[in-house]
Amino acid sequence: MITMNYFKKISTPWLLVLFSCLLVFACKKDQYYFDGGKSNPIFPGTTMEYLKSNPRSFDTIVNIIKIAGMERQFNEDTLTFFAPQDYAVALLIKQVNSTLFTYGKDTVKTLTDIDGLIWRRYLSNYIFKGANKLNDYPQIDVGAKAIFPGQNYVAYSGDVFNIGVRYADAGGVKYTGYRQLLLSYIPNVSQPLDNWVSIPITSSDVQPKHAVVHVLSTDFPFGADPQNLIQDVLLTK
Amino acid sequence: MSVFKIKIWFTACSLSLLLLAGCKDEVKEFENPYAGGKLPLGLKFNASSLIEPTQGIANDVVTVSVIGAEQYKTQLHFQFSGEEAEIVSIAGDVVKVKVPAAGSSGSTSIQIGDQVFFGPQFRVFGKISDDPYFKAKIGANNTIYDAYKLKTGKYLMVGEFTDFNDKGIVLAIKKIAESTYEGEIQRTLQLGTGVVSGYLSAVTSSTNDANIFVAGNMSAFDLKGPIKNITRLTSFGAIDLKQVDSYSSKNGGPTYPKLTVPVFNGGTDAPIKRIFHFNNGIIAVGGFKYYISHRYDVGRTFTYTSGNTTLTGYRDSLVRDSIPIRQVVRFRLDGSLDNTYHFSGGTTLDGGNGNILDAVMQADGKLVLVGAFSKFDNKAAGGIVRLNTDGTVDDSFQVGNGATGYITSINWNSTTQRFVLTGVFSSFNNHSIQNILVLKADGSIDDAFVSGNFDSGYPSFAQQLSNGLIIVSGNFKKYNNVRRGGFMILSPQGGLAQSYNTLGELTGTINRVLEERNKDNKRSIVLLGSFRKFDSQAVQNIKGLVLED
Repeated sequence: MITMNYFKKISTPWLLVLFSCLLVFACKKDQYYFDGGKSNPIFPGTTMEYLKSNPRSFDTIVNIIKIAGMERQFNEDTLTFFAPQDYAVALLIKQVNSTLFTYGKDTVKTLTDIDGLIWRRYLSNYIFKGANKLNDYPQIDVGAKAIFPGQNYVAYSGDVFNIGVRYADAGGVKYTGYRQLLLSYIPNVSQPLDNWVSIPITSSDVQPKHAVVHVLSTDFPFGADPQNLIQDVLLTK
Repeated sequence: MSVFKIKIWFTACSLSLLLLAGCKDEVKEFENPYAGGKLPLGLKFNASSLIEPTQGIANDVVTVSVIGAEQYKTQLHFQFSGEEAEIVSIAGDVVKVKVPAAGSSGSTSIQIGDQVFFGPQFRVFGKISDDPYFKAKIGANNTIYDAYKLKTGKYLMVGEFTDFNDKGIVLAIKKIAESTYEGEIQRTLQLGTGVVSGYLSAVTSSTNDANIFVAGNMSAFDLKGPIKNITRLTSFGAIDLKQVDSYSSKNGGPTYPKLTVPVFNGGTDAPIKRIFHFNNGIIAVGGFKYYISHRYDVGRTFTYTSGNTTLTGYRDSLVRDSIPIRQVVRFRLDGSLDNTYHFSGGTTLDGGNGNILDAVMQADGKLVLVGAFSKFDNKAAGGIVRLNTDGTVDDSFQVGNGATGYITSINWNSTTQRFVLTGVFSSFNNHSIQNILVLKADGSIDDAFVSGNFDSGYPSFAQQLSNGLIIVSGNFKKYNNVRRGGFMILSPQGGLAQSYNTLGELTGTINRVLEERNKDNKRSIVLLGSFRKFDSQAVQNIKGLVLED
């Protein structure tokens, strides 16, 4: 019999070596995985200091805050800041300059070429009263706004935004996956369910002193309503 | 026991040992990362009993059922389309509010602190409403740029649409439609397939509608060409064609047929924006740099052998002549270039140093151009200039320095004798005027009109009606701090015309407003343009309204 011959060929010491190998190495399969633990959401400083501490993402935003003259708010106010990243400003400036070029105006070279009041107006679109973390916001499903509507808030600028938490699906089961904040600009309050511009958040719940910062994804130009921003810039040129 | 059996036992024992003691994973309990959080305010519009009544006029008291309203009695603000309303009473879930004077149709909402709750739609009635006689309810499937009234009383509408009121299924309606004022498609003109590829942006006619002229961006009309952006139609609406000798038909005899080509032999190298008829000429305005005409009599003669005989053959070439022109050109009625208009010493004048965005012609043939230029024909011009009938700059037009910015639209009303301009500018002729202004016929500012303050956007179109009211559209959201989204009607003084501003928001732009009296002899207007939603209703680029006096 083949089986018998097979077993006979393998001697006992060999088997022992094999099993001891198994025993020694069997439960080491998780070695590559390092649990970094929970990241610390608390930042020991003001919102402004947090933004300054991360120049890779926010040094342009810090400059805009300075030009807009809003350092006081970012140092003192209890606020929720949906922080656009530097790349969002780059996207905006590209659009601004192509429009300025079309109308034969000087293009923007430095951030100060755009009036501080304009920066202030559109930066205020991202600032909300009170410090709110992800779990302070209700669920949003942009495909079923009637059931999971999120909550609408008036930003510092006076424009209305919807803020909600998107519950992702996990393994095909609805709403059981990870949760992600979604900031949606409502362009028209008399048709409040139409034409939302929804920006997802890449990291949420960063907590500097008396404030919460949620970092926005970079795929959207700065300002929430960039077309109007561009026209405002044109007007000042 | 054989050695073999011992081995089997040994193996079995070791394996079970492995199974039992091997990989006992530590079971960790994680805390719920999403637990906690602030409680919602607990305020909600009652979906089962909505607003009562659902429509009304200013100062009507309206009842709304809002769950949890009583606990926020002191903090609660109620709004109609973003306009604050006076709260009459809150008892339990029943909220009574008064429709604000500046309220317009749209969503109601409640604001508590910085949180906003949107409620049901409410329709505000005023002196403006849908025209009951208007028939183009479906509308055009794409932008309408212009309309021109023929002496038959019917209108020719042109644009980018390929269907009008779903009537194109029967016979194609492409980029041009003959319609009554009420928006009913007519078939008296033989427009054929119109413009299949490209679009039409302007239409006019010569004296007594002897010929109709259409212009835009096209190379053929009713599949016939060659055309370079402008052509002429007969009074029956068919493209005006003639037969010409080609090189081959001239030299080769009857075996070579003559060519059938458009009578209007002229055009431009880039799309035309506006055309005007004056004194047996067509003046076109656009972003073009060359006048183009066709020559059909060019070709070559060649010989070929068939067996032992040598035969002669002819081939035609289509030659395009181009002559530099800048932004403005005058065609004669056969399409030939009038090189006395906007020309000097045989060459074109320079035109503007930026785009021309709109133009109107006065009854005396003088042409007013607006746009994004600061110089025209080497003279300083703040986005506006008037040309004499020979195309030279008219210095008697009193616009001075013009606009600091650019002007997007201009319209002329012959009844009120006023121009209305819109744009993105902060001053005009050294007066601080924002975004909209009214000029007298001589170009001086009409001081009776005081422009208000636009918020979040600008007007892109304004046209004055013969009763003085001014229709304005754009992407603005507020005017003088009253919420008006994309559409408003101003009084001749520049304020929001009382009770004419109750319609909901317009999403899009208006390109033209037609004004007539409807069958009830009421003032009625038709808005043409590029819009999909108006007053909370889906509309397609055309809308008829009635204005009560």
